Amino acid sequence: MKTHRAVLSVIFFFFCVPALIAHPHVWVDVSLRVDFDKNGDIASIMEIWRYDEMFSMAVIKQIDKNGDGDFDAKEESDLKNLYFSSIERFGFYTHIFVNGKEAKTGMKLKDFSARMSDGNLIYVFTIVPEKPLNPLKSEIDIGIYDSGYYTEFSYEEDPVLITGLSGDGCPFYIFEDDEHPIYFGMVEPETIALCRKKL
Amino acid sequence: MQKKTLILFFSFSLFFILKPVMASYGFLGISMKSRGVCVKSGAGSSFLNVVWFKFTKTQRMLNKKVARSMREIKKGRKGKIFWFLMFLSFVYGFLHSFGPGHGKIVMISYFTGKKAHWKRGAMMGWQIAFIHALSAVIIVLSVKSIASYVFGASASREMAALKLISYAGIFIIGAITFFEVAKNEEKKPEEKNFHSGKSQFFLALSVGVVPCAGILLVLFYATAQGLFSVGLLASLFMSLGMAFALSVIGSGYILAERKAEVLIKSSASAKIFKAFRYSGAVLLMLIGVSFFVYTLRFV
Repeated sequence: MKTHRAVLSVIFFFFCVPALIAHPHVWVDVSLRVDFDKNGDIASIMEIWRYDEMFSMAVIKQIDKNGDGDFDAKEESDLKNLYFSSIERFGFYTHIFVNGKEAKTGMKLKDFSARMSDGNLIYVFTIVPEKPLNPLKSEIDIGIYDSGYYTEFSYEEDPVLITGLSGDGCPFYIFEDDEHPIYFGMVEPETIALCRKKL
Repeated sequence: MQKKTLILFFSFSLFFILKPVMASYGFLGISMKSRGVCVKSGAGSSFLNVVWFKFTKTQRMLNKKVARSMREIKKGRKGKIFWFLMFLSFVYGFLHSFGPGHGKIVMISYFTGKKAHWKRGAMMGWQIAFIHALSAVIIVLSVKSIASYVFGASASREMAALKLISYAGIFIIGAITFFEVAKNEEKKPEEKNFHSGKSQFFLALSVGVVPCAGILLVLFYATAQGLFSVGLLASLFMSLGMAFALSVIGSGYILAERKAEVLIKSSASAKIFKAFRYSGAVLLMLIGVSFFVYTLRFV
């Protein structure tokens, strides 16, 4: 039996081709504000990303030409072109699911700003979904993560703020999304179920 | 008892190493079905997820603590905090090298069917770790910012170039090993020699030439605050941690494979191991070629 298992392990080894791809070296704490319009559609999503100290240091040393420890307008646009625009290509790492299926709705960038706070690089930006998303009519999940896993995202404590809906109309909870694993099926990302209570 | 431990170790190291291996099947576009075979078999994905989650969270915590202690040192704190930082760096390096990359697969492929002494595996772990770290140190010393290097080939052409060199090297060593194996098969059993030390060093060099992004960040963080020597020592301790982990994996694999060979000989056929000898070399070539081609698009 033991032999059997050892042989199987070895056979699996040769059946599967390895990946030597980067793993997270960059970490981000994220929180978001979801704004609703009158119809109960998501009007916009504002995200606040807080990068870890080491990556933040690497970025500021590269971008902060005048050395004042923060970004002026020119430096902010340099930062946007060099790093943020590549995030734009990946849909701002913001994955939207409608009834459990990844929605192919595009996202438009409304505003972007960056600053340094206590050694952390902070992004604040707002994105607008191009198609209406209504969490009161269908099940909407939002997951913020990098499928390529260069950057690891975690949610801040109490990460979601809702505006535009009255009362407690939109509770949320975070779950491990085993239906949409990332990083070649290895990681079940954390995703936010919007306007639903955990069953 | 010893057998059991070794088999356990064998499975354990395969578990950690194969997770990305198995999953990458999907990445190479071979088929989702076979990915399912690899990933879903065994422990079950939610258990894997918990382990993986803990693993990355711990790394993150360590990364934070390393940054904090460096800031404390910068503020002028002395004594214990320095050694605490070195300890953290060692643990960080140790854990770090269990993640994907860092040459574990390459090392294991290389030793497959080689019948090497376990000390060879340990030595290769040290070789990879130190070349890996040295490459990071050289880069920090020679560039202004390492931010783009962290994202690998997709963000930095220099990194893409290093990776191409690395994968080409792995392919060449694989090809050389293949011919060595073929030559060996013609010899009488008592003349067989499976190992050449030179190829081991060049393989370690090929793997290690791509800098360790973890060390890049730690050293750059220290240097940017005027703590280059502290950062250098922290990098040294990180690479010690990596060396320790990699050499345990290398020598553990060699010992476990030999034990498996003994067990299989008694029950099945030794022909499997003849196939293994070729497979190790073929795998090196495959790794080299596939990642070379994958990286080309970033140049």
